[in-house]
Amino acid sequence: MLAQVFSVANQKGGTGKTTLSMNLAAGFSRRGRTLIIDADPQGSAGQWAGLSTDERPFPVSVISVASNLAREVSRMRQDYQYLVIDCPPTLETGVAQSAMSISDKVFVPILPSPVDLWASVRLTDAIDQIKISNSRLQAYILINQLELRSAMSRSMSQALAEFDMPTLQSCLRRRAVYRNSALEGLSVYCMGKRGESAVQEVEFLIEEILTS
Amino acid sequence: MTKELGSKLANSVRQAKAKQPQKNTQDTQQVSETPAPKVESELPLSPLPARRVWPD
Ligand SMILES: Nc1ncnc2c1ncn2[C@@H]1O[C@H](COP(=O)(O)OP(=O)(O)O)[C@@H](O)[C@H]1O
Ligand SMILES: [Mg+2]
Repeated sequence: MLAQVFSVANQKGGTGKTTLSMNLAAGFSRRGRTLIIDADPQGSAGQWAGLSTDERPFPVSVISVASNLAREVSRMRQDYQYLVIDCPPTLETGVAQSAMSISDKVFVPILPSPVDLWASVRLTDAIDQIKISNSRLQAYILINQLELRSAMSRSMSQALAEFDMPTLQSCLRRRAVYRNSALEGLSVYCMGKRGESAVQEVEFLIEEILTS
Repeated sequence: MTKELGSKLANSVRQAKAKQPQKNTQDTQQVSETPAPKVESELPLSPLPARRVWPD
């Protein structure tokens, strides 16, 4: 069976692409053979996994692909069940577009802030362009770093309704464990009690992804 | 109030959409305004393979 290919993209930096890619992949790896493709020249995903120890390795391999993304991915689709592509924070190099052009789904993490919302408008245009040649692509917005007590966070749904792509029901809350796990080269799944709530939301997200 | 904030946010998104430049002018503007992209194709494939030690 060919792998399902998921891209995580947003041309804005710091929206949580790498954090989402790593934790999604860790969750997918409990369901089937998974690979992370680091398409960002900054190499954060590779660095993250590189911090893990031999005793507690990151459960998913990370390979960095700098060019010929489409060719590499179609080759790897035969050996895995899930491929997760962590995209660079730009649309200028065409790498994010290549990733989306070979993906089944693209997830766009957006922070609950006006500037992040505005910046994502351009991405929806790029996604519409790609859908012309890749008609199977489904795009979803995911709210990251949600803060339940913040009015801005609670107002997001009204603003996101203005976008032409749907927002996932699941969202990721702002939690220290997402940062701490990176420092240890782990996913939230390996953080014990500290990671429990985060694991729960990542699991909800994965179930929603796999059934939508 | 959350509702007010919500419509303000929604409004700002509509404005951002309306301000999207036409595709053609957008392209020409970007050529002059953005610095040349990094030479991505020349980056090493990954820190891991780069450290590989060949048998010979
Ligand atoms: N849900 C979250 N809760 C807390 N911190 C987060 C969360 N998601 C991301 N972060 C932090 O926000 C910063 C940017 O995230 P990152 O995944 O590197 O974004 P990107 O890959 O889009 O640049 C990092 O410091 C990361 O640890
Ligand atoms: Mg990143």
